[in-house]
Amino acid sequence: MSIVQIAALGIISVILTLTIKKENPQISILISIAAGIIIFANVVPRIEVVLDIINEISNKFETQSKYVKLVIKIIGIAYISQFASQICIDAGERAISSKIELAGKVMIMVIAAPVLLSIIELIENILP
Amino acid sequence: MDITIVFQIAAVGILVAVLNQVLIRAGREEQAMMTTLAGLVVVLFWVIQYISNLFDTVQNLFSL
Repeated sequence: MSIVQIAALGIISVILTLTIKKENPQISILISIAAGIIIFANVVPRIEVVLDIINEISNKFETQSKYVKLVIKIIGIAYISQFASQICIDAGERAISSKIELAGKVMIMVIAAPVLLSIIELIENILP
Repeated sequence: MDITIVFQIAAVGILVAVLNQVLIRAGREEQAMMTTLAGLVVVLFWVIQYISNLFDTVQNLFSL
């Protein structure tokens, strides 16, 4: 699906959302969620190609490959929490969306903590 | 996974909205409310399937 079709799909679903927004706000939000899912489903094969390339590169440097896996995991968490929090903002629920983002940040921090430690140990070894 | 999904959901939404108005004009507010809820539940089940499908692909993709 080329970018033109994706843009057209987005515009059409926005128009449909607006037609239904007055009588039925719930279903209009479900339309925007469905449109988001369809667009992401079309992008997934390209993301797989990029991730394979990244894994290939990281396998050359054995020590680095576990950090690259962490980065990819963090990207996944960031994407899901952003997906959910954007939907909540669309619906007008800013409080819930900021809670979801907080949870996403905490999880990312939990995953990134060991990397931080190993970098600090590296620096200690280098410094005299 | 193409645009027909969006059209189906929009069709249900418009149908429910129209039915709602017809029933309200006919003086049956509670049935109007029931049809709105029924339409919402149907669409919700469709979209929940797609959301779980999306989250599965994301989990496999990013090895979460």
